[in-house]
Amino acid sequence: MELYQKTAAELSAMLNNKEVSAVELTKAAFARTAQVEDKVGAYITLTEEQALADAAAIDAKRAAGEALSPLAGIPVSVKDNICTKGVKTTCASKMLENFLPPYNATVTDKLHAAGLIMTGKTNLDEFAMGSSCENSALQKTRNPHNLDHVTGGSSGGAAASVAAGEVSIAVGSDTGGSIRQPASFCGVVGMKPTYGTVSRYGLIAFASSLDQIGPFGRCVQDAAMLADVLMGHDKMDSTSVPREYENLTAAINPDIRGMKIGLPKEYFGEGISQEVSKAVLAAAETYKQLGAEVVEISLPLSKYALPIYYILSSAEASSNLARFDGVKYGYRARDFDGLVDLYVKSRSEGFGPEVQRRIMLGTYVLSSGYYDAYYKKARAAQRAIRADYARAFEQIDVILTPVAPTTAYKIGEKTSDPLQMYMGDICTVSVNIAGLPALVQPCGYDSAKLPIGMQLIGPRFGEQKLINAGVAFEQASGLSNIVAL
Amino acid sequence: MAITRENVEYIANLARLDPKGEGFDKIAEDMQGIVAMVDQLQELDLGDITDVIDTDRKNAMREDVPVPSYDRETILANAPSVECGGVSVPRVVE
Repeated sequence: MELYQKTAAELSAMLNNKEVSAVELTKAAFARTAQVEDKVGAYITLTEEQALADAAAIDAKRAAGEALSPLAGIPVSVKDNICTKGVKTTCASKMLENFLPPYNATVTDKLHAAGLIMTGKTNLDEFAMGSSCENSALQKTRNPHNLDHVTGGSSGGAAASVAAGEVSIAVGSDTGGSIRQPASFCGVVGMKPTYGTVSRYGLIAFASSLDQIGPFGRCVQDAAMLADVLMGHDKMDSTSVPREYENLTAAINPDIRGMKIGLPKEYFGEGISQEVSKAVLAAAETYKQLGAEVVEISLPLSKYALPIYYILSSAEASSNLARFDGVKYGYRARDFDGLVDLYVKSRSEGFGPEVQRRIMLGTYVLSSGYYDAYYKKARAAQRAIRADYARAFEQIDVILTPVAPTTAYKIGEKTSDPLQMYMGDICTVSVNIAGLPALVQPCGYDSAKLPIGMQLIGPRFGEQKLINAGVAFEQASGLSNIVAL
Repeated sequence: MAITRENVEYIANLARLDPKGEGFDKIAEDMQGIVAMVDQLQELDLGDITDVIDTDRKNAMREDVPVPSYDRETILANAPSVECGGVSVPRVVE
C-alpha cells in the first residue's frame, strides 16, 4: 500500500513509530498531487515550499522528543475561503484573485499549532455559493470517481483532494451542505459541526448565521481527529460557544446497541432517486442488525427548508458582500465615471453570475415592502424548523437521511438552470437552518459506480453520537478509505 | 409576487450591480423562477410564531481590552489604489 492510500490515523501511527517522517509524507503528498492534479484540479494554490519547511520543523521537534499532537506532520488541504496569512485566499472569485490576507483564520492557526502541514488552497464555488464547484471563476475541478462528473460543492476541491489521495484530510466549510454534498459525491467522509463549535474568524463570510467550518477525511476516525483540532471556543468569534469540548476521537465507541435512529419520511419520497433511497434504507437495515432501533419520524416543515434557506442565506450574503466595493481591497474596474460607477463596475465585473443572483435575491428580500413577507417570515420559520428537530430528538438519538437527491451528475448538466441546482440542496439545508451537526459518509454505489452518501444528523453538540454511529456503519459495511483514480 | 424587469433594475441599483452589465439579462430572467421558489414560504402558516429573536442563543461578549492592530502598510498592501498613506477614490466633492 502506498502512503497516499493510508488514512491520517494510520499515518499518525507510522510517524509515532518513526517509520516515516513528516518530510517524506509531504513529499509523497506532492508526488501524488503531481500525478493526478491535472485531471482532478482540486487546488487553486499549492504551497509546496512552505509545506516542506513546516514538515522539516515538525521532524526536528519529534527528534528532540517534544510532545506533538496526533496529526502533527500530516498534510492537509484548506478551502480557499479560509484566510491564510501571506498565501492567496481567492474565494475562487475574480474579486479576490490576488488577495493576500494580512492575518490567519483561527482554524489556520489551530492547524499550524497542531503541527499539520498545509499543502495548499482548494477550489470552491465562488464565495462558497453553489453545489457543483462549477461556479468557480478560477479553476475546474472534476470528480475523481469519474472525471466527466462534478465533485459537488461548494467544497468540491476539498472533497476531490481527499478522494484522489492528494491528502488524507481537508478543511472545508458548510453553509447549506457545502461539506456534506461534495463528500457524498466524492465518496468521502465530511462533517458539519454544530453551529458555534468551530471559530468562523477568518472564514470569508457568506451567511454568517449558517456558515460552519468542518473536516473531511476518508474514514470517520480521520474526520473526528481533524474535528478535534478545529473545534473549540474562540474569543475572536462572538458566536463561538464557550463550553467544554471533549475529545471526540478518544471517546469513539462503535457499540451502538440501543441507539434510536429516526428515518424522516419526508426525505424518502418524491424527488429522491430510487438508487439513493435504497442505499440509505439498506444502511438503516445494517443499523438494525447492529442492535439499533430504527423508527419512522416526521419533520413536517422539510418542504419549506429550501425557500427559508435561500431567503436567509442570500439576505446575509447581500449584506456580507457589500464590503467588496473596489476601494479597500479586491478587484477594481479599470474604467469608471465617479465613485458610484466605481462600485457598480467593480462589483459587476468582479462577481460571477451566481454571486450576483444571490446578492439580488438577498437585496430583494430585505428591501422595503418585502422584508416582512420574506426575511421576517423566514426567520420565524427558522424557529419552527428548530422546534421540529427538537421534538424529533425527544424520542431518537440521530436521524438518518440521504445527502442529495442523486449521485454526482455530469459537468455542465445543471449550469444553465440555477433553480434546478438549488433543488439539489433539499436534504442538507435544514441542518444549517437549525444549527445542528451532521456527518456524511459513503453507503454504496449507483449503477454507474458513483458513490452514494448517507447523512446522520444529531442534536446540538451531538457530534459524538454521529461519530460513533458512523464508525459502527463503516466497520459493518467496509465502506471506508476509498481512494479513486 | 412576480418580479418585474423594472423591479429587478431597482434592486440591482440598491445592490450596486449593473443591470446593463454582461450577462445581467440572464440573471434578471433567472430571478423569476428563484422568487417563485422562495414564494412557497407564503403558504406556510406559522400560527403563533412571529418572533424572530433567538432567546436560547446569546452573543459571547469578551472584555474590551485594547490590543495591537495592523500597521497601515500591511492593510494598504491589498488596496487597489493608494495615495499618501490612504486608499484613493474618485473625487466626490465638486
